[in-house]
Amino acid sequence: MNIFGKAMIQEAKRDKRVCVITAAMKEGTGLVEFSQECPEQFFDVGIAEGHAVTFAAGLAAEGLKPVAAIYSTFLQRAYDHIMHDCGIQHLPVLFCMDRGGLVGEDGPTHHGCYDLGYLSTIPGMVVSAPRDGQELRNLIYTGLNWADGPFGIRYPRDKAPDHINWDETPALIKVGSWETIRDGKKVCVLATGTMVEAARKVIAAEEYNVTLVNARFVKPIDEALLSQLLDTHEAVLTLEEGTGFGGLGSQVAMFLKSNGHDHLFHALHLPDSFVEHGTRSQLLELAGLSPRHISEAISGMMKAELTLDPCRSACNKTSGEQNEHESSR
Amino acid sequence: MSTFNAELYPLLARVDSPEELRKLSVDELEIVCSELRRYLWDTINAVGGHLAASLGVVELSAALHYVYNTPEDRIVWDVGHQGYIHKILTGRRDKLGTIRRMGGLSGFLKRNESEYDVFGAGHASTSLSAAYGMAVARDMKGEKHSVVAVIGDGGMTGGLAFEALNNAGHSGRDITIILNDNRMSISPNVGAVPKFLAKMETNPLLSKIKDEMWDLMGKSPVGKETMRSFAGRFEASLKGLVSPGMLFEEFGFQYFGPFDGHDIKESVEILKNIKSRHKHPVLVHFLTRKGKGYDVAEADSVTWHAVKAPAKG
Repeated sequence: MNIFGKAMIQEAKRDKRVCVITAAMKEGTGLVEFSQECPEQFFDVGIAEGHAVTFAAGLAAEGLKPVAAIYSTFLQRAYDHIMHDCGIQHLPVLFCMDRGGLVGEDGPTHHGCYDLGYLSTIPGMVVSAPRDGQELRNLIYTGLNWADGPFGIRYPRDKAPDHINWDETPALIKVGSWETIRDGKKVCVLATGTMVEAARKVIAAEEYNVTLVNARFVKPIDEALLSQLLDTHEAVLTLEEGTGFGGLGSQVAMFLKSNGHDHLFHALHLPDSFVEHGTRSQLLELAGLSPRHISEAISGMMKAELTLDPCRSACNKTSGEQNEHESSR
Repeated sequence: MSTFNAELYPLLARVDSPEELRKLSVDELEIVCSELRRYLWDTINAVGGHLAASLGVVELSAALHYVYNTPEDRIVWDVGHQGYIHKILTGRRDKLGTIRRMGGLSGFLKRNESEYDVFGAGHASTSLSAAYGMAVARDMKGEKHSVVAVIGDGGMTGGLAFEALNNAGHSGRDITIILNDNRMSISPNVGAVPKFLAKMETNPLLSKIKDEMWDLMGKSPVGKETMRSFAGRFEASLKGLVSPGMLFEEFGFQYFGPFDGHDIKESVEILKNIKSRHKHPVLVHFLTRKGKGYDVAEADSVTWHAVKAPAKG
């Protein structure tokens, strides 16, 4: 079922200021029913992502609650509009980015790999990724009640299990708060979006006694919780289905170094190369984010006596390719 | 630091807000424009800042605030560096000398600087999209004010402007685009015939007939698009010979112009007609000259685009 579309219908009926904008992706973003049920609050602007965002900023400037529903990869086309028209003016536009992470068969032009990084560079922007459908609904609700600037939610194409109680009002999540999924020892796994469930499964299957945190906000990070976790753990592993630049891993690493923490740190993320097309599981394997990679990273850190090579798997692969390239010159 | 000497600009001294401006007669408005131009020139040459673009929109800015009930009516300026006159007229006259200095006025428009800066900018081509968003918001809220975007011919070359034209034109919503066309060589279209035609178009009676024909054709069983396109082509065959309006009409904007953007009386008359008569997508084409009023700046508006503050010695 389509959680985004259904959640938007609920929100739009609850609040007439809510309006949804799509750039010719009504079907893809799951807005067909919305467009029928709330036609006055639905705007398809055509294949014009930049205009969609600045148009949304114009709506927000007048006190409406615009939601720009644009695939992660297509939102790249509107970067300056998010920065210049929404960010600088602190206009509350909610960005709902479908197809976050690896999309599979459509390949490198369509993967949504960069959103967590490039959106985090925008001062004041909230960047989030839900772990499941219920959290997506809660984040939409939270984002619509956020008045301080642009708010991004990225989620995958995956089908989410339908365990949502639609009669219940969604919960307001404290912006920048993370959620501890399980408490464990030594290693603290910080995962965002799709990687929360992936890590949970690996930890359960392998019976690893490590801590797992749902880092649902990539920006701002939960510095208070992170500080507490650093007091009680020796190692930190970050997991994200996105570029290593500017996303969760890099922000956590910066926090660690800036605050003088010398914890063992390891980040799993997508490689600094364009990932080809294939099935999602093939690509996760190729990119170093498969359950096997997650498991190896956790077990490696559990065993480590601060000897773990901090640049393995995905990272290793990229540097290997570069070396090969250089030697062939 | 206040750079405003009321003795030098006696009429402008009375204009503390657009409300005061609207109390003046059109003859007085003309005098205010000359004072505005002089005040801008004197101040910016002393402190530095964008000059040529604002000199080019003295009359247009004054006419807009004179005709439209700002800030309730929304004026969205593209880029913003041509907004100095707008700033002087909207309560920031005395602070012009602080422009672009830390703690002073911004060189661009900013929502948090004034309620008259309804949408900020710095980069080009965003005004049409933003204004369309504001027009939609107005309609959703059941309000009635005007939404006007002011864009230069340069800003109009950006793809975003066309994305917005494409989206807004056929919406039928009440939105006015002011095309501030300050190209260096004045268009050969300027002359008695297009001026006459354009004036005729803004004449209330004639536009009423035209609007009613438009509505009528929308109800025709032949298919409204066919009929409208036929009528549009008929009209365009005449107008297309003398004006560049075809492009905008194809996008769904009713085109008026080109007009002399430095003729304050004509600009006021035209904008009044547009405001009262045209509650649909409209584009009004004004021809202006960057650096207008100062020969050196007009002749070389590239050099005079922005001036540096003189070195202190």
